[in-house]
Amino acid sequence: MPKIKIAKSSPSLDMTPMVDLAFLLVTFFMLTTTSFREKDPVNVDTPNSTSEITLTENVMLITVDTTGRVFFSLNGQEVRKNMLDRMANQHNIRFTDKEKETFMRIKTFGVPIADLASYLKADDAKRKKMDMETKGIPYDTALSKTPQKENELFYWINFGRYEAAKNLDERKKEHPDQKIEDLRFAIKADGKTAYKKVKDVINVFKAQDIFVFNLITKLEKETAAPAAGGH
Amino acid sequence: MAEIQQNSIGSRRHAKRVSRSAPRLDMTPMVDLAFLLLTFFVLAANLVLPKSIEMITPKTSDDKTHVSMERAITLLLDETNPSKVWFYNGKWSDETKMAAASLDGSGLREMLVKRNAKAISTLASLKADYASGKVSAADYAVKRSKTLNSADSPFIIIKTTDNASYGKLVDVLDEISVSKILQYSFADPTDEELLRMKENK
Repeated sequence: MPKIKIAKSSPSLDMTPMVDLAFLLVTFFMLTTTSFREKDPVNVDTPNSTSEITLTENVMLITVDTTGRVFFSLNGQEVRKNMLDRMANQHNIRFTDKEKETFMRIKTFGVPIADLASYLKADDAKRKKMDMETKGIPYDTALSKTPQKENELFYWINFGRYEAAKNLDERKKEHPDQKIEDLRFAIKADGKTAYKKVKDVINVFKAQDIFVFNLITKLEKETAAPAAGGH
Repeated sequence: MAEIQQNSIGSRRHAKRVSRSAPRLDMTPMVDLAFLLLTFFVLAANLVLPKSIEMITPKTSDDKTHVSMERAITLLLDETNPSKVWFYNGKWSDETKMAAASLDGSGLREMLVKRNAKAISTLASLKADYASGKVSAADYAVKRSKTLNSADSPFIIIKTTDNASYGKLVDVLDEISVSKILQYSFADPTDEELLRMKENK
């Protein structure tokens, strides 16, 4: 008799646990996501290494492509805005509030300061085109020791570093129990870039007493263990 | 207890009656949305931070750090073969012969590991002692850095021509770190070295 009863009831699936799980995962990803993947303005094929040092969030990143064009990137919207204000002062350029807002959103850029206003005004398609055509941020190592207006990379690094340090101090004061990483300087260059170009960028850093860099690489699986057993 | 039982009986009866038009909620659109959001966050999140290798440069290019010549290994990187570097031991003289070491096989690594064999074996036994609890963590760290920075482990001088690729430098830095060599520096190749590299090509 009970068998007949089962046959009558319509086959329905209880989806509640699945929904629970799905929402749990959604919540997890929403809360843990600190930064969204962003498309880089340049394509750079980084070399491989076996190093497993992961970069921290707090990083100033210089991208150098095969032709030696330099792009600048720094994390932190507030930091970026203050950096732009200083840069604008230095070069006697005024940016509108809207341009500043756009600048806060754009993580990586590689245009000379003179073109920055029109770059920020442009829409996505035009900006993409400008990224293709730009010569990168101007830098000249011959001038890196005696700062000149032509060496814009020097100033971006200088102001960016200063603002990042200020922001770090504030955060440390607010959360004294939290371990907050210091700013690191990273270079992301294409494996085919001539070493001279990277060296020039490094010299701009060295002119401001920065000597330790993180070179971004792809992780390569170790093929053979070293002969003497380097554990 | 009695009350609850009564209640449950009551509710069962009630349920029986309503069951004909049971209020069933169709969860499908909600599930769709949940999975859509899930997919978005999984794809858009930047979960993996990039890997990197550390590079420490000397303070100035004319930094006169004195290195005893027996420990010195000079690596010369040029633009010709992407998987080959030149090297010579000790001080440069007119009779110095440059040898080639390959980057993709075990050429350069084997050479560096052999030169640093003493430090590598010390580190291995130190690690075993630490694992078995003979050495404390603090002691281990001190001894480890002492071994790595000892005055008789090799010191590498990296000399790179302007047109050598950056990828080659990263490869070399990687081999150095795999061979547990901590002491290295950068310099510009001299004219004699450049000339010799050209001849060897």
